[in-house]
Amino acid sequence: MVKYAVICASNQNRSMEAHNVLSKKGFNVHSYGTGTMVRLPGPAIDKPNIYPFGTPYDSVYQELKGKDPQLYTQNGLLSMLDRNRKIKDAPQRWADSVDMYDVIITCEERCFDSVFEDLANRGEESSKSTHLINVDIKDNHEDALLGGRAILQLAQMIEASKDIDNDIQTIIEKFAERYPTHPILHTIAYY
Amino acid sequence: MAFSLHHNERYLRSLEDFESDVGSHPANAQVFATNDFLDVLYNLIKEANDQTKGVADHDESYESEIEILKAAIRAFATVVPYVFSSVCQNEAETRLWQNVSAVKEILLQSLIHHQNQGVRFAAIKCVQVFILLQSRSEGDRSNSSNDINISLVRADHRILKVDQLLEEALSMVKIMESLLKAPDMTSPTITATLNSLVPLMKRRPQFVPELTTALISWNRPPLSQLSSVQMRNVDKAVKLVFITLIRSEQLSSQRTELINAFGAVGGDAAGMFQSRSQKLKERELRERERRESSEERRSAERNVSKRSLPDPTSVSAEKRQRMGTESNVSQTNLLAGFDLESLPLPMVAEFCLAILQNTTAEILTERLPMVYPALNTVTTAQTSAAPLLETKVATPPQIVGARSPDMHGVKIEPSSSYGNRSVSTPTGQGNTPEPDIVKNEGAISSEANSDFKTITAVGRNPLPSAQERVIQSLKMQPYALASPPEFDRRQKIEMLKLAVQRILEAEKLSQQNLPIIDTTQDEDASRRQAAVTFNSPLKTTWILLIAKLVAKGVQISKSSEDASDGTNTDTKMDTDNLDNDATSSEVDELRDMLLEFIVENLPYRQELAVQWMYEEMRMDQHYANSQDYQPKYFHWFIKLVKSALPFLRNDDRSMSKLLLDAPDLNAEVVGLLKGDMERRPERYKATIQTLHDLALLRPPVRSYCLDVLLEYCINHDNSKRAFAILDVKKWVPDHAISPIIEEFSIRSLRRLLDDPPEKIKEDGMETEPAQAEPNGTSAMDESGDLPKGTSEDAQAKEENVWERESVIPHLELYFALCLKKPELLESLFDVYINTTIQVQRIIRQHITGLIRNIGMHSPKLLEIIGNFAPGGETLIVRILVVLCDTVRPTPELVDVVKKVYQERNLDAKFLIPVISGFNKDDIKQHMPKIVGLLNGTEAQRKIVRKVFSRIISDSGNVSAHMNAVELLVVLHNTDQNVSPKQAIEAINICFSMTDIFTSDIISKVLQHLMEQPKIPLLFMVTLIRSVAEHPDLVNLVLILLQKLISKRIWTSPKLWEGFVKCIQKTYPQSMKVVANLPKSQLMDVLTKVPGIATGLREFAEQNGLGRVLVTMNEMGLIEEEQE
Repeated sequence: MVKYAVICASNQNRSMEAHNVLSKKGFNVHSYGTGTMVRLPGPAIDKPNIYPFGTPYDSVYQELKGKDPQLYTQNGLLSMLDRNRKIKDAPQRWADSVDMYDVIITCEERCFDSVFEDLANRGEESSKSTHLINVDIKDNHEDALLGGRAILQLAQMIEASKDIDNDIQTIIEKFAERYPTHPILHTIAYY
Repeated sequence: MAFSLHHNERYLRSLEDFESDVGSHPANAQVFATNDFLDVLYNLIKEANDQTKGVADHDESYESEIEILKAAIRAFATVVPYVFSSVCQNEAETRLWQNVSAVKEILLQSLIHHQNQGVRFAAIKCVQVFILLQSRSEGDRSNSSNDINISLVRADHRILKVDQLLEEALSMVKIMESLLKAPDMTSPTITATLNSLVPLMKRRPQFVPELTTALISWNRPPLSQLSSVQMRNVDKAVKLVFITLIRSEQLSSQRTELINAFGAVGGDAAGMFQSRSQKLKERELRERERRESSEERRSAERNVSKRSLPDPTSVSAEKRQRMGTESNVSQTNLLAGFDLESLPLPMVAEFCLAILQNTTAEILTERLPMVYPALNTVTTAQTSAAPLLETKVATPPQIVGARSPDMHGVKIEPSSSYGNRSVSTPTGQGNTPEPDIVKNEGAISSEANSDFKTITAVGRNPLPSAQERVIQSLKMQPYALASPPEFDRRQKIEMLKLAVQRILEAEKLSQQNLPIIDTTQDEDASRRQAAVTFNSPLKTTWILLIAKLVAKGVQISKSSEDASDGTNTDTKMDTDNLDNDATSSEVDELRDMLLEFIVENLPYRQELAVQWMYEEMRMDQHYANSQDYQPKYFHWFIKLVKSALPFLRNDDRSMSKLLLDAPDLNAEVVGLLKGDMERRPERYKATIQTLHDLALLRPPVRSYCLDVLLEYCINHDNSKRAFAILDVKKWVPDHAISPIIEEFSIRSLRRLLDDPPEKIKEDGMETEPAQAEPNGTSAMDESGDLPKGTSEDAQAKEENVWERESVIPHLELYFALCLKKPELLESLFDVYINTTIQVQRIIRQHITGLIRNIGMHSPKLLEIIGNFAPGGETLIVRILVVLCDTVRPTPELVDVVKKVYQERNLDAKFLIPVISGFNKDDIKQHMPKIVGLLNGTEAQRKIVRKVFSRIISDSGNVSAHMNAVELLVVLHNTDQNVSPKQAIEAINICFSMTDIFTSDIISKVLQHLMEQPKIPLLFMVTLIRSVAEHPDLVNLVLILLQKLISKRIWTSPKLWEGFVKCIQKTYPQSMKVVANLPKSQLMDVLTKVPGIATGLREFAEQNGLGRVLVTMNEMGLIEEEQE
């Protein structure tokens, strides 16, 4: 069974949406963030709410609810956190992951770069190849929703293939054709 | 995994074991480095490769073969380093190596070009492993422990031929390169190759140049078969490879090449970086610039301190980095927006140097002037000292000019020995100390200098730019500060003044920030506020500072000028001070300034004032022995008080605080307070309190303060006087001050014995009435019905009489004290007895409140009543009246009064007030005296009536000692001691009180009297009166008359006379009584009252009283009629 990892910056919105969609469809999926801290919008653009990775979604949920329930309901943070806490405990950092994944899907080019660099710097000692794919998704609720569906499509295409390694460029091409709004990047990387 | 049946089951199981054991833990692979396992892998790879090579039909078995192949290659790649390592150690492991070589051959010949992409991924990785094994580790040694490579191979290894292997590695590198450009390659393969190159390049830097070249040219000529998406993927991967490598520490030596290469691979390289970190970079740039200036200065200072060993640290690197950026951008524009922050510093430094080396002298010359201003603006933005820096750098001689004293922002002269350090510290924020700037320049120079030296060393021409000139000028070492300019005294003082002024202004500003300052009306709040403000340590510091500065600042600045040795400064100081009038006037200006400042807002600056005064005091004490020294303390203190007073709010107590805290006070200060109080009545209360506090807490000025206070205690203004008395009273009777006040009060009381004040006459307008008045006043005296004894004195002084208005002020304080200390009252009698009648009357009127407040329970008062001096009777009566006005006197009081009354045989007036305190016997005993008061005048009747009513009426819950009947009976029985006239008057008074002495009461009295063994003379009077007043009593009267007949009333001629009168009054009803009289009495009556004859005859005739008729006939009364 193909193991998926979906990755965005904070492991809150885009990766969790994809995680949500994929796990619902029965995929073996994990999710991560590549940032140093989890950043969520705050009362002003220069006052974000910042938490370390590993802070449970639930406690963030409770905190924000306590702070300003109206604001955080309105901007969708609470419903997002509510969804997240039903999927897993807390946001995870990519750098701390130990498992090997067959397909790694990032939601932003920055994350793609990070993962690329990180894997290369890990030393490639396992000689295991992996597909690193970036599906560009803007970091808002609507785009996350659409992006999640796109990632699901991608996963389904991958799942449909009997030999992913061999078919990957066709899949990528197809995806790029179908979702021009989500520019896709692909590279083979090694563990 | 469903593996194909083509393979030996055991092989597949071994592979599965490997997968599960090693899996994600490559280190576990070591145990699989065996001949057996290699056999397995070799066989699997060979068979699977054969099975799949060239097969077009991708059925299920094909797919499983591919899976096996991939897994086997991967396993091989994982295990081969350990195999290599064991071959190195064991030259007998021929078979192992043979297997390895066999697999390698298949790998290179076929697998890396395998039609299946997944196999290619695995094969490429495997090739990478071989290259790593068969090459030397030349770079960083940090991970050499687990880096298995050809260096482990012994020379003359039986199996492993080093040269051969190295050569092979090179060829494998070429193969990798070719993969990048192979026309049939897909983007995943290429990216896989690229990815496998990263660790290779990191660990084997010797391949970097070659591979870099390959990477740069991967797409030249363009590979047409790749779609745009694939192109993009590869393009991205190439860039990421470079980024990863550039950031890698292991490749720091080759960064320049890598960066250049990176620039070369992407037309959009800059853009990519920008999008990646634009925001981050912009923010960091700003932060960095802020940081930089301070950092630069810090490290510059560090550099100066150890200039001998310049420290090629971050600062210089950063600077070069910036310079590098500038020039690079202007040249190629390749890295516009490139995030240099992301690069390690040493690398940037290398990079900059490399660029500088490759730049021609012409370009440098041309560009440097552009760089320098850019550099400077950064600094300018950060430190206020920058303009100074520039000026000085350009023209060092101006440094001195810039500090000329006539400039307005003059600094405190750094060389002056006292105060400058402490002064400049608080104000130093705005002015960066100059030595720092100089150091800063020095650092820059030495640093920049070393940069340029490098360039010259390379063989370039010296740079005739502005930068160069700057550097040259700063190269002069050691750099000495110009000696400070000497200021004359005038200038120094001027500066001192400016400095003080600035501190004071700063204080004002800080106070403006206090929101409550002006709105506070509440005294407490403002005091609290002041306390808060002054509690802050900062404040305390500057207060002290200013105080010291002003008090002795100038002496010091002078001494530093005159006494260069500084040892006998003190002695020199004062002589200077005295010699130089100009200077002392300067000091005074300074003091004036401070004074003005304090006065502006005394409540908040009171503390400052106190500190200053203490300093002045200290100076005064210090020079107390030098004969020429003029003490300044009082001069300035009085000046301060004088100027502060008019600004004080009505209820402001800060002056009080100031005075209490001041080191010394004198009479003049008190005088000032008094003057202020007189001028500003609204400050009266506050000043009184101040004086009170001073009197209490500052003994040296106590007497002065008391004088003022007491003076106000006899002031003519009622409210002022009352307040002062209230204040002074607090000390009586317990405080040590008390005797003074008591004495004063008595003294002021005694003033009443003297001539009245001349004041009234001085008023002019009042003169005439005052002259005219005596007659009127004496007339009043007569009507006042006072004892005449003392009035002669008053008559003697009648041309000038004490007015009520002038008497009361003399009394009030005294009375107020008496209330607290009743024994003082004794003195009053002295005065009372000897003063004029008018004054006595005023005293009597005025004493009411006092006596009422002292009350009859005061033993002292009782003592005074019992022992009053002769002449004070009226006053005592007044006191008694006041005491007993509404309450029944206590037995003690009654006793005292009775005693003194008897001892001195006093007027009954004394008894009247206390009469309600008497018991029945007392009343009976004293009644004659009371009745004796009656003299036919209405006034006395009133008094007696009041006494009567008091005797018989209840007071409070105590019932009267005597009822009306008893009183009247008593009155009848007083006849032996009282003149009948008075007794009758007294009885008449009773009759006039008709509401009490009703007919019922009267009848009871009459019956009571009737029963007495001896009928009082007044009985008949009362009887007659009763008939007149109460007609309804006639029947009773007749009965009584009848009884009197039986008592042979005629034996008492007086009573008989009354009887006859009564008969006459009650005629004709009385006829039946008359008829009962014995013959001789009947005749007497008929003789005395002839008018009744007719009535009597008729009565006798009707009732057949022959005896009466006979008698009448004998008298010839009937005969005449008959005739």
